[in-house]
Amino acid sequence: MSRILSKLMFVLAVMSAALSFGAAELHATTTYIVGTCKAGTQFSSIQAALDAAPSPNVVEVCPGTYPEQITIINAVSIEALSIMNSSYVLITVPSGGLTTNTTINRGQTSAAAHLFVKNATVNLTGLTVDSTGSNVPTGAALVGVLYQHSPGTINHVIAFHQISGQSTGYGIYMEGGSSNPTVTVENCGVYDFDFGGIYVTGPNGPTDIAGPAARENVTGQITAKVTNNFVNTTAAPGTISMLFGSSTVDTVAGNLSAGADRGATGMNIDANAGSTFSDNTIINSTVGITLLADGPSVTGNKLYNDGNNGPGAIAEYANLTTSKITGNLIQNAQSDGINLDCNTVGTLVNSNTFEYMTQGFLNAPSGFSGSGTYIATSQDVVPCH
Amino acid sequence: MSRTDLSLMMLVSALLLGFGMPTARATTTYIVGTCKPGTQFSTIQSALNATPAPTVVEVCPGSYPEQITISKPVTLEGVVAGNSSFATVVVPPGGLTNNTTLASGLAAAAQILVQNAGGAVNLTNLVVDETNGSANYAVGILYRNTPGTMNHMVAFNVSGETAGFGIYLEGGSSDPKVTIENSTISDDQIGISVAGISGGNLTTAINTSLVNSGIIGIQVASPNTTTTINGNVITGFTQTAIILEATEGSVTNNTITGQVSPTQTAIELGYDGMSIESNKIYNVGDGIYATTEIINSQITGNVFTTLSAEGITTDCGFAVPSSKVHSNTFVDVGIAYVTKSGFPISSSTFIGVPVEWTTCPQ
Repeated sequence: MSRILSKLMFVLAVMSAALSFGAAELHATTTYIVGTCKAGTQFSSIQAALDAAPSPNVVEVCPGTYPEQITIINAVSIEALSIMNSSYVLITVPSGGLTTNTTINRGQTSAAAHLFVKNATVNLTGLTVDSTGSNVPTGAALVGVLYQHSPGTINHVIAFHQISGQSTGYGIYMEGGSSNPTVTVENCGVYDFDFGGIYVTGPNGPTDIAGPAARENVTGQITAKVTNNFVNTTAAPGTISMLFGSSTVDTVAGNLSAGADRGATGMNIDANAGSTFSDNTIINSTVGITLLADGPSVTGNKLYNDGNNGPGAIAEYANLTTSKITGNLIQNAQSDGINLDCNTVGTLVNSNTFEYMTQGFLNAPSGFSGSGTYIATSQDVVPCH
Repeated sequence: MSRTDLSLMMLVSALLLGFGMPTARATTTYIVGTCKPGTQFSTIQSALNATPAPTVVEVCPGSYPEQITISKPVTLEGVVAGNSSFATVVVPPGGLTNNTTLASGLAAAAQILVQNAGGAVNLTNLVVDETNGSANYAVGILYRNTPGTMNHMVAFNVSGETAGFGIYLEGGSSDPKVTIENSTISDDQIGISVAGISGGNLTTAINTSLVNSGIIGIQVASPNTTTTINGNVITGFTQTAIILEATEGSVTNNTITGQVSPTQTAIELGYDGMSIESNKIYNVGDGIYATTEIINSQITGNVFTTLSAEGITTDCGFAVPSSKVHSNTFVDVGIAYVTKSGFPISSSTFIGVPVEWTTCPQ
């Protein structure tokens, strides 16, 4: 009998556990619909769905135009639906423009974030953010999608027309902090901005981009994976396609930065050791890749048509003990391939291919022995003067 | 030593000598310039014309104002010497003169003319710079009825009063195969032109090159051409990246990126037959624009990102077989598919696409 009782209690325990899991699962699938294309609890705006109680775990958005400035403070996945011959979920600026809703850059710059994610785990899929008509106040930044201290995945999101008129517009901007969030940005498109395309910064902001500074956190304050994105740069001088600031640890691969004119920098890198930048393609930039700090590796990238009036297809501004710059193809550069700026690099810069340019290496330090393949290069190595 | 042994030795010696002679011919190397020891010439053409005919011509870094004709098999390669690898063929002081007639009957000035060589002509590590060239039809490098490989070549700034071609390929009775790889085709009016002729087949492979040309990147014409275009980066065009007017070949794994203009088209398909697969197309007006019935062409696995107009537009006169056009991905594209009515779109992926499919204008 006691055996039977034991078995019965075990079964009851299992059933109870199953019910508990079931309840948790039920909670995990609180789904709201924005629009009327699908049955369920429907809302007319994305923000209304996010603010509803109970808080949703998933918000599915019907194709349509949503003039909203959105703030997300709870964990959620927002997904565009492909239905009725369309998958176009367009988030536009509400009448009256965007208002400032946070600060970035060490709290020094007020910002109007069109889609603002704050202290929450959030996944975004398939959304298009058009910030045309943002009308941000003087001195403020404009951000299409801002993740602040928030982990999550941004997949197949398009951000465009982040033009503040003050050279302070960013497409997708991620700012870390002591929680060291992990953010993935993949398969996204960013274009038509007047300052930055994709930005990853630590809590001290991109102003530390001038190199390692006292404010920099060597342990990293955000971990970013940025893969297979497309950033279309503008002609405006000083714009930056992608920036990876101090106190960040980044895996950046398979991205394409291209544009009509050589106005923008392709990648500005001040990231921490352990960061890797590989297999990216950068076309028509003033500088393809700028490396400002020792630590990250720059390998296997392809750089075409870069360097017009700039310091090089790759500009290397730090003495290197860790970083590797290897296996990159630099083709049809407008001036020089890799500008070492007289820094000591040992043998960490090697096995790059230079095809059709005036100088392969510029400002190579004394005794520089990095190997390279030179094709149609007027001067393979120009020493530091 | 017996008489038999002696005869055997003589035979072996004769055989060795016999083998030795062709080997010696196979390595007749001339130097253009003074950067290397050897038989030196001051111009590329004089080295090519020398007797015995060279099998290899190594060109020192420098500038060579020449219009060159190659009519024998040879390998012509730029060499790295000192601190440079820049061997450039530039326009001679008197300008370019017409030195050939294209299959179309048009007189043209080719800076490097390779024709009827009877064997492979391989070009490596050379720059052809036609800056300040003047011709009605200008060509950087022209291959006619000659097989060979162009590797790490540069064809730069070829512009004619009517048309300029960075590289121009014609077939011929020898059924040549020509490969272009790892090369830079930049600032030309038309980057690469593959022109078939009725008298022979032309097989062309265009691989892992940068085509950064002004109006059209690559154009492929019939008849009798088989062309594979794989792994290239094509940009800088104002009209069309690739025009296909042939029936055999494929376009795969290329990256095509436009420059804002909504009037740009990535790939125009004028004839049925060539396949277009696994390409990445960014930032143009139209992605693939077909003006032919699709029976054999396969259009699959392509990714279209940020197109202001249409992803794939097919000829309105014909239904599109779903077995041939499917599994494409559209991200941020105005209209993904424009086809005759009844086309299934379920096998493709759409993200940020206002209209996934629409019927042709009738």
